[in-house]
Amino acid sequence: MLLAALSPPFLQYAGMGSLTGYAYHVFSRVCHQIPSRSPALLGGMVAVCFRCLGIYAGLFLGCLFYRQPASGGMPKPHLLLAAAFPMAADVLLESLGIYQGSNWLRLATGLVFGLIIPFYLIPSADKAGNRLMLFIRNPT
Amino acid sequence: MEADIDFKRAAIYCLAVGAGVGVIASIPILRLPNICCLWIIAGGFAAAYLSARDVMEVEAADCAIIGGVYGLIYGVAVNVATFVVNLPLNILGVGALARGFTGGGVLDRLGVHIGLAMFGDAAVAVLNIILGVVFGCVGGLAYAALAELAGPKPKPRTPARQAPKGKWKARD
Repeated sequence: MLLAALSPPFLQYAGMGSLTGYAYHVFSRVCHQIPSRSPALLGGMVAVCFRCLGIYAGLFLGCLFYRQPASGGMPKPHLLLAAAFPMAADVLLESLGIYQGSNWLRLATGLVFGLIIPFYLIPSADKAGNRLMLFIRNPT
Repeated sequence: MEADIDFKRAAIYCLAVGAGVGVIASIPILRLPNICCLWIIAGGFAAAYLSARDVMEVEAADCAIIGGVYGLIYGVAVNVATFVVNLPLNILGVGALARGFTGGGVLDRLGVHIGLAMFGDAAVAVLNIILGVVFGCVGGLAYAALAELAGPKPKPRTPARQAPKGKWKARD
């Protein structure tokens, strides 16, 4: 997902500019793609904004560095709220016009949020898999 | 008040919320520009709330699973709704032209462009489902976190034994 989001500038650089339109289209459903809020590489715009790029990069890094906690299971859900709070505050304050956020702040808050998600997602997927297996073995 | 989440009932809530939010989110005017994944997270939260509102103690992993299932249904629903909107445009090739193809000889290679547009839609569909599951899970976990902050729900009181009417006398 991260690679696909980063692909348009590289596609353009490699002379496959006609494909960039499709890469932008793919991400247009999930991101506003406002040019002033989107990073540029090699003179071309990335397919997602700084915040979404931060979330995707965080997800990727979180999956890369995921280790199961010693206590097993997942961390307390409060940690997720704490990780989401800077991003939520940034979005809210900016939407209300209280302050004008910077792109690097959007990237950083998205990265923090994305980084923590795999620590919940992976144990949940594990538990869902176990439940599914139990259900398949004993549907009643 | 129940001890554990009823997953059959939760599946119905996931289906209802996922289909509803999926159709709403496919309407372009309702897509909020600053909060891209708000609909998905809000739907995951709602599905977890509806499924776990009568449960005494909510488990975070269960809420995440409910959120994930909701996200899966949302992803499918939003794809179907978007496909219905885009179908006439793709058949006419307008979708291919509108999606940034600027090369020459467009009409000569119309089939290629339509194929690419369809491939683009398939990629969007996969992305919608992946993001739906991820952020649906986040919504479910957000509900679990708030439920945990609110503390455990009180246990249901067992009905007290009624004293017999009239003047009560202790047995000898």
